Amino acid sequence: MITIKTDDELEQMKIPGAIVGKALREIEQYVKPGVSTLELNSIIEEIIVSEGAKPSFKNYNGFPAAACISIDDVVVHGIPSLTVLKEGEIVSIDVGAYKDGFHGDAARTFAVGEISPAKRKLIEVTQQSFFEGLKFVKIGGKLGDVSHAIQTYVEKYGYGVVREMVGHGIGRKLHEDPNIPNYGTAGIGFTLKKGFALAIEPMITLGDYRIKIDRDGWTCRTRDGSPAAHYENTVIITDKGVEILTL
Amino acid sequence: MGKLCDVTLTEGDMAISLMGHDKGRLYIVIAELNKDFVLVADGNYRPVDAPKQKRRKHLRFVKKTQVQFDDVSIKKQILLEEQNAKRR
Repeated sequence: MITIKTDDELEQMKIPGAIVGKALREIEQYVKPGVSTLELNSIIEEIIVSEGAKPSFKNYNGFPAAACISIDDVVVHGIPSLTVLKEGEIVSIDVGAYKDGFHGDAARTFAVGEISPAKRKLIEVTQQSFFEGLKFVKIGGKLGDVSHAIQTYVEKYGYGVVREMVGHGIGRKLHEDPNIPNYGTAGIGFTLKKGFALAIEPMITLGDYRIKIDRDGWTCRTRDGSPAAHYENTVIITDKGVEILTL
Repeated sequence: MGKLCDVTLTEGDMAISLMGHDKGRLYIVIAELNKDFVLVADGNYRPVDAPKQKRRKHLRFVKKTQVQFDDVSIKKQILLEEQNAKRR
C-alpha cells in the first residue's frame, strides 16, 4: 500500500533528509586511499547520531552497520569491514537516517584518488540518469515513465541496469511501496500523486547487468566482476512540484 | 538502501536462507506455492521429494540457474556456488 503523506509529514521528512545529505557531503573528504570502510562507517554513524537521529540501516533486517559501503564490483549493500580503499577504485556509500518517525535515504559514488576515464564516465552517467528520471516525477505522471527514462538514458551508453534491486517508497518505514525499478515501459505503472515520498536509485553496471549475492546474504556483486555505481536521493511530491530532500 | 525485488524468486533460482535454523544455507527454488511461500530443496538435507516450505521474505535471491530438479544436480550446483564463494 502506498502511503500518502500530509503536508506536515512531508515537512518532517525534510529533517532526516537533511541529515543524510550532510553525512554524504562530509564523508567525501575522508574517501581516500588507505582508509578502511569500517572507519568511514564510524564517521557516518557519528554524524548521524550527533544530529540526534538514528542510522536507519543498523539492524534493518539484520544489516550490521550504519552505512552500506560498496567497492568497485559490489553494486550495493557492501558491509563495512577492514578492507582498505585503494587508488583507482570507486566506492558507493549509501546512508539512511531516522528521526521523529521518518526515514531519509541517499547514496553517492565517490572516486578513490585518480580513477580511469571509464569509471568516471560511469559515475557521471549514473548521477545524470537520476535527474533524467526525475524529470518525469510530477503529479499525474506515471512511474513507468520514470523507470523508462532512466533505462533509456543509461543503455544509450552501453551500461547495464540492475534488475533485481529497485528504488522504493519511503516514510515511516525505510522500504515502502511502490517499487521503483530502473527499467520499464513508459506510460504504465502507478500514477504519481501529491504526498508521495520516493527513494529513486539507479544502480548501474559497466558491463552485464546481472548480479549475485554473497553468502553473507547482503553483499550484492556484478556477476562479471565489472564495476558498478549507485546514486540515490529521497524526493517528495508537493503542490509546488518535486523536491529533493537529501542534496 | 536498494530494495531487493522479492518477486524475482521463481523456479530454478538459487536462494540463501536468511532466517531459521538453516540460516546461511543455499537452496534451489523448485516450486512457487503462493505470494508468500516457495518450496526449496538442496539435494542433501532437503531432497526434491521432501522439499522445505519457506517464506519468500526469509530467502534472498542469489542467482538464476538452469539446474535439473533432481538431487544430484541440485547438490552439485550448490557445492559449486559454495566453492566459488570461498574463492571470493
